[in-house]
Amino acid sequence: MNHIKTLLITVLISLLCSCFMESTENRLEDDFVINHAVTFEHRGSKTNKPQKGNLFQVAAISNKKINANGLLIKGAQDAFYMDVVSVFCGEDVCRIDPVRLYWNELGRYQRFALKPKVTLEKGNGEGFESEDYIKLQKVLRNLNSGLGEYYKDELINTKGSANTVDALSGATVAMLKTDYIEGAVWTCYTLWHFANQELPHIIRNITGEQYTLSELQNIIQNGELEYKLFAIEQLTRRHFIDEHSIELVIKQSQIKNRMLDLAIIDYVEQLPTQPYYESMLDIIAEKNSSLHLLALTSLLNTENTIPANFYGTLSDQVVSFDSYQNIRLLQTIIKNKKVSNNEIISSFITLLQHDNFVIARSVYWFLAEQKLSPQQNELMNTFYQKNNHKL
Amino acid sequence: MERRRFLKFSAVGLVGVSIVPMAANASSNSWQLADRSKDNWTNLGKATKDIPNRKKIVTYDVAVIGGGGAGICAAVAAARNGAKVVLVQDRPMLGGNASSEIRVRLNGVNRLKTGLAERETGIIEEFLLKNRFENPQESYPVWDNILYDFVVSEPNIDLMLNTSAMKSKINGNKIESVKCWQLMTETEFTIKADIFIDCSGDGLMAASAGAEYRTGREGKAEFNEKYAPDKPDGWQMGITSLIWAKDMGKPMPYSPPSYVIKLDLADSHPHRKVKQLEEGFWWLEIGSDDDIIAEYETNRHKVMGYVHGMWDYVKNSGKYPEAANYALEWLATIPGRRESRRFIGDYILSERDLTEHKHFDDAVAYGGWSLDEHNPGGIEDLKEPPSYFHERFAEVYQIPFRSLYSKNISNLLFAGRNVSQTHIALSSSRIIATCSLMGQAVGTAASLCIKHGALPREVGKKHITELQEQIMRDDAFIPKHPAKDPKDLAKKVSVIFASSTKTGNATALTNGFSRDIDGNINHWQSTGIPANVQMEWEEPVNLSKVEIKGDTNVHRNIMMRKDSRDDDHFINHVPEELIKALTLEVRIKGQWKQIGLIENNRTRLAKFSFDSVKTTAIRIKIAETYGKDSAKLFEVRAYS
Repeated sequence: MNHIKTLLITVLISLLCSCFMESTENRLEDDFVINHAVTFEHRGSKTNKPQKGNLFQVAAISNKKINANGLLIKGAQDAFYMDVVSVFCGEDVCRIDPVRLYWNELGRYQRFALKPKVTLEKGNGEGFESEDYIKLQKVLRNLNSGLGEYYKDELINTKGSANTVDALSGATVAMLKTDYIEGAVWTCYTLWHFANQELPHIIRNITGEQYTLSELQNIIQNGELEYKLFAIEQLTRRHFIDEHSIELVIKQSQIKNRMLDLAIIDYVEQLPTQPYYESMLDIIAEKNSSLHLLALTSLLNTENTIPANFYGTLSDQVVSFDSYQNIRLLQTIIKNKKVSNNEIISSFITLLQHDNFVIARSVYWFLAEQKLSPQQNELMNTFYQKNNHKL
Repeated sequence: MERRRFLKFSAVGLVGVSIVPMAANASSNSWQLADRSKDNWTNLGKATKDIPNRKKIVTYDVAVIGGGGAGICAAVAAARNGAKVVLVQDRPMLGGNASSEIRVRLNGVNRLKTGLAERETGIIEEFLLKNRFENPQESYPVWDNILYDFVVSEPNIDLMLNTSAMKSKINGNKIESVKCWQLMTETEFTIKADIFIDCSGDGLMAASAGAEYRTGREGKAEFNEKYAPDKPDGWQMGITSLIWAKDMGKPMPYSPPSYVIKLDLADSHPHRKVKQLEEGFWWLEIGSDDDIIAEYETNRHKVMGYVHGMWDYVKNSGKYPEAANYALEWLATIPGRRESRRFIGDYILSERDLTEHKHFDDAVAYGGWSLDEHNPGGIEDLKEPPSYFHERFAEVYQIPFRSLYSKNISNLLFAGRNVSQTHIALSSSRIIATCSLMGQAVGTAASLCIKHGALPREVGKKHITELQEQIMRDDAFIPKHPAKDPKDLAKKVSVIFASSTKTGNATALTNGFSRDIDGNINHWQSTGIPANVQMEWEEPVNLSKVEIKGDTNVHRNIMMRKDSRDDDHFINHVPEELIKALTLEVRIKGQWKQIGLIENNRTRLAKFSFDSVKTTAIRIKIAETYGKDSAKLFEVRAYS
């Protein structure tokens, strides 16, 4: 049984390593490569100056997975690549090797490749083992890696009891061991920041520039989640604020995804005042309480001039709220902005009958501070008589 | 400053005391230590011939023997939960192995296989944080004083320093009293108590009571232990004298003393590395395969000889030119001990309980240091590695209450390295912070014994849930045992929400887990500061206490170290995550009213205590941390 297991592991490692080895000369003939000269930040840089590099975009490939504009269609993995150094060595004792990194058109890191006969080295002079290459791929694919939390100076422990430094041993780096390869912390750190920090944003924007407005709208309407996020982000960046775009973006609130909700609010917050408030009302009309929270927080903090009838219309929607926190937040907005009126009170007073008593009680105390009509006071008295023991 | 009662016996802590006239039994007890009937004392102040009184009887609810980490935590836990406690320590300072005279690092679950710590909270964390606030200079003598202040500020504790617990008096299977000798006052104390806790390490008090114990290594077969020897033997890990050295900035000569024992590490195991010139060598160790306690003075002399032999080798062999400017600045003349007696409880914790992470219904503490079994022979077996470090843990293991009380002495609890466990289990659990968690557990158990008029075994059988809940309420952590305190009104809230959420969820604050663990997020973290959390009940509740567990980053170590490490594993300052200032508001008739303000908070567990109010909602406002720009909480509790 152990023999079979060993054999399987050996075969797997061989296959994976062959994926990492690649000649730059054997790309397919009909690939069309665009060279983008880019400038970007890298936390590992010893000079602390922006880095300059050539980011290559593969604009067409032989398998014809291209769209009408000659760009790779979504899902094509090697849309961009860059040749980078394996390590900005922290202690000047590392060997630097060239490594090619690949991203898809959304800037998501895909894989790395090495030229034939190039192998990566650990800080202590030992070469990477087969398992290390496999782990490096996992490390670089992890968007939530602890490597993203550190600045380069924090990786070196000058007070460690060991005589070695982290560049060599990795022994005193306080990260999950899944986040780095022991003995190769600097390599992991350097490559991870190339793969996952500023370059992905640059790639997204290059790709975004190559889509037309109608293509972006089409992606929002028909694309998968990560493409919707990308397209909304590009609409925001390029300041596309036409009516159709706004409508499409607001409609995405039905999906109820946290990342999408944040992208929607970012988009709406850069709209001019009138479409901003109108969009907020549209958002509130959708049944998405976590997006409601973001929208109400935005309204609480906005410095835009308030349209006269806005809060009355907003309060009309309050009966449909199912979140106590959002109802409390709306009360805070009305109180802070001093915009209470009879229309608002009329909307709130219906909530005295709310099935959720905690909500009804908060409305009671909110209304107790408002100027009420005799009829409204009567409703308040009835509520008080019935619930006095629970107030 | 309020004067403390170092056995002045005038204040509330004492349940009873009597002074026995010496003359009454002088003739029959003339060989007793306390007998002074032969004194020929002219007291010029009183113009009398006198006989000094050197014999006293005192009575407490709980007597804790041993003032190291375990004993301090036991005494404080028992006292805070209502028992009248005496803490007896045979040295002039508290701290045991971690005190200024021994200086062993206060290690705990410093680093799991994940690469991160799972640091201990509760009482042990409290005094480690106190040290960070009051001892930024990282002085060991000041650390002694921190511990002293921590203990004497507890109104229910009387502290007896320089006092050795010599002999137990038994009535049936119970300890009735313990005879102690207080060195500096030449006084014999008889301490009577309902419950006795032996946290002394060697456990003379428990042993003299007849509590079953064993020494040495179990054979593989007895507990099916992978790392145990094939056959049982007598080996016990040894004692070590630490040294500190200092770079003097110029070449410093060294001449060894007369008792030096020469060492040559040329052919020694490669793990015996000479790389920590400033902090000494933990592996300079002399153990025993027989009666390690009886051999202590012999071994102390020997290990001090080896210490100088080692330093002579470093300084004068020519192999360590980097040591040329170093000189010794401190040497421990009292070596730290690792192992001797292990008392037998209703359960003997063994290797597989740890490595297989056995779930105990009566778990009350945890550990996670590696299976750090030092080699038989110690420094006298240089070919072997100093420790085998058999196995490291991916997650913490549980310690059951049944390992913390005696099988045959009914009112005896223990905590520390002398608990009911095998030699291999000890190799991990002996670490000071782990022992301290056991201490908090048995101290809390002792208070329940007093409360219910019960003995430890009965607490384990009838009141184990109450014990676990109290331990967790007091901010110690029990793995895989979520808190479900039925008195906690926060469990009954209708709504919890926060002003902002960066990570986690406000609803996690009542889920019973007071740290992120086992891959689960159990916290709420704000996006910024100030931040608040609001909790609401449908029916009004009467509240007089609100208890909040904040963040100190339990994945980073805070104990003091000679090398003063300050990185992401160890810090040498107050954790920036700790909440510094917060307020508590209650809502009464629709209006928020502040009823609590804590400024300069110094503990993870922040407690608000106030006159009872009837309310439907509370709001906790976090105004400031010690540096972090967001607030993180793990638990909110509310009590009537």
